[in-house]
Amino acid sequence: MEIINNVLYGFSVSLAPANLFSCFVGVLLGTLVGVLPGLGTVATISLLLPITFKMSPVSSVIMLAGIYYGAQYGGSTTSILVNIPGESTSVVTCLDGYQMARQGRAGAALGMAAFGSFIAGTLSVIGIMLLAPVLGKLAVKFDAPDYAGLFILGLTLVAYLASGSKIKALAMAVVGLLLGTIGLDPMKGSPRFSFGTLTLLNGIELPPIAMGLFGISEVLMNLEKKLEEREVFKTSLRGLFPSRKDWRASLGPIGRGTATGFFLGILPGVGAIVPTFLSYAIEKRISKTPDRFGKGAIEGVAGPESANNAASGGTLIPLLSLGIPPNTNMALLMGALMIHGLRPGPLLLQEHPDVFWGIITSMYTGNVMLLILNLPLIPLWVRVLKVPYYILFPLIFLFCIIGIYSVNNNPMDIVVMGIFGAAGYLMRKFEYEPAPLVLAFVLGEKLEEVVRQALIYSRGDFSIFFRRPIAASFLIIAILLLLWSVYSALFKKTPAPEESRTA
Amino acid sequence: MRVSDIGSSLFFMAMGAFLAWQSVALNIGTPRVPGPGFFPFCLGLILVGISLIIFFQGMKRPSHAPEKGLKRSRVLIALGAIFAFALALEHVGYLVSTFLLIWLLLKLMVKKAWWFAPGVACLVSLVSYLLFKVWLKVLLPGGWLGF
Repeated sequence: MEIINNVLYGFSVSLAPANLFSCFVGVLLGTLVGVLPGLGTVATISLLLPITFKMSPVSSVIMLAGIYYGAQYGGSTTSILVNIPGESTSVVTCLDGYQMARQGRAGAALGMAAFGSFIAGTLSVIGIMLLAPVLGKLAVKFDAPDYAGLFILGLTLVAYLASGSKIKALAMAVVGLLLGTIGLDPMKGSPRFSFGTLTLLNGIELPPIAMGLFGISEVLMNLEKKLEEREVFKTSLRGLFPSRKDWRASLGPIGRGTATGFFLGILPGVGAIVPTFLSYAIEKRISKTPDRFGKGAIEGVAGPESANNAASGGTLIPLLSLGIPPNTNMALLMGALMIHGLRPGPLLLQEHPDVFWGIITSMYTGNVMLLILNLPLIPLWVRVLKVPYYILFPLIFLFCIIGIYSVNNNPMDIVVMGIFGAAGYLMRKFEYEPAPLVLAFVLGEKLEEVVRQALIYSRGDFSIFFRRPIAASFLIIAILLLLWSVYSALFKKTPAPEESRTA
Repeated sequence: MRVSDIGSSLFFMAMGAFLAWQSVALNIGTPRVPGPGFFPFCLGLILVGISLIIFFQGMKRPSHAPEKGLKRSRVLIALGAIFAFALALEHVGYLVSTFLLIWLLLKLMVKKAWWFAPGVACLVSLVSYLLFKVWLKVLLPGGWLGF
């Protein structure tokens, strides 16, 4: 049984004290940022990216991944208790979770959210174990043109599934690719777009871009608003274990939510938000008493909470097996791996099985920790919620600055981060999404490499991209999506401004 | 007509055109032997094309009602503070520049008793100094005063 050996090997990596500790730190921090509205996982992961430079590659990715799935646990806590989603993935949980809290069933809602997340997290880890190696083996047969097609399709999908304007998301992807060309040419080593400055000659690095676009700009957006006071719902937290009746009602939603989340999470650009909405819709549709939804139905908590956790597992598959990050969090994880000299992709499994299986099994240990941690710590999270914004925001600013300075001890990095902070602020104002930019930036260098390799190989014949069946099918899908985006941008009636989705 | 779309599309159009023009100087090469300028040249042209679409889309979209009650000046001051911090850090040292940064940000955001902002700023800079420099041994510059 190869798979069992692999899993045991993985546990031998992820249960090593250093890795266990970084997993613990990751899930704890993740829950914390999940609880705190206004501080997202992307900002936190970019904040911690510099710190992981000094850690081993496995420990750093285990910690960063822990933040990502840990936040899905934390986000539900605020949705249920305060009716404010700590993460965008637990928006739906507010609908029924908060109503349950108002009826004095906060404990059951929180407990079911945690148990549902645990079950979904566990099942999705099993899914990754089965699926990622298979995909990875397929992808070993890929050549330069196939990769070019895959990367282009990945970027197109991310732009296509953007919540706002698809065409603007495409523009951001191109800008991200262009930003990646600054610095030394990867194949010939000649400087590009450095304009005589040393800072640009070395190229722009991922941390200042990510921290500027997500951390600094988030604070700037909040600075200009009037600060609101949050009111924590006062309720008894007794009875965190859901009753037998609750379990009977929830097992179906948990199973369906897990499947929805996991398989949608694999697709680039979908992320963990869409599955939560879909899961809620499914449960409401098949329920015998749909009018209970929105008034405290436990199915409306169990389904979506399982979906977001399963999705956060599913998103690891394309990253680990194909080297394509399906969302911004995964792009940052990919950045962390690359900084340590590892190339996520089909070869990762062969060259660094410790990293591959270590990360996957750490998600299982992480889920166990989250379940044990979360139930007793809920009262603590409620108190964390009372930390006022005017203390929180200056601290985020400071952490960004120290974090970025400590990478190279170069104050110019702070300036670059500030510029991207301003850019991120303007992008939000002008309705451009930062996510495609970061994704394209991470993929850019590799994409350029494979495109140029393919062209050298084919002696300048562009038809090489369409003569290989794999490359051709990727590219044709990408082109169809592109044409559709352009068509709908120019000729379709523009929908009403998506005010409600910009949270 | 949506002014924000048109303005931003013109900006990206200029950016794409400028980078494509710069790429020519970098040597585009031929498809057979792509040079360093090849990839950015193509991207620059694509960006110009996409910006054109955003431009035309912006002509069609209804204009936006301006958001009210926003304090834009705070954003500018906070951004200025980041740049000032970057310039001052290695001259004034970590403790002083952090103290000033946090003081300024707190002053921007809340109105409390006069001692609140400098007090919290003092606490934050001292605790973070101990945490990062003394405990985690992050290299933070000392400046003229040595801390």
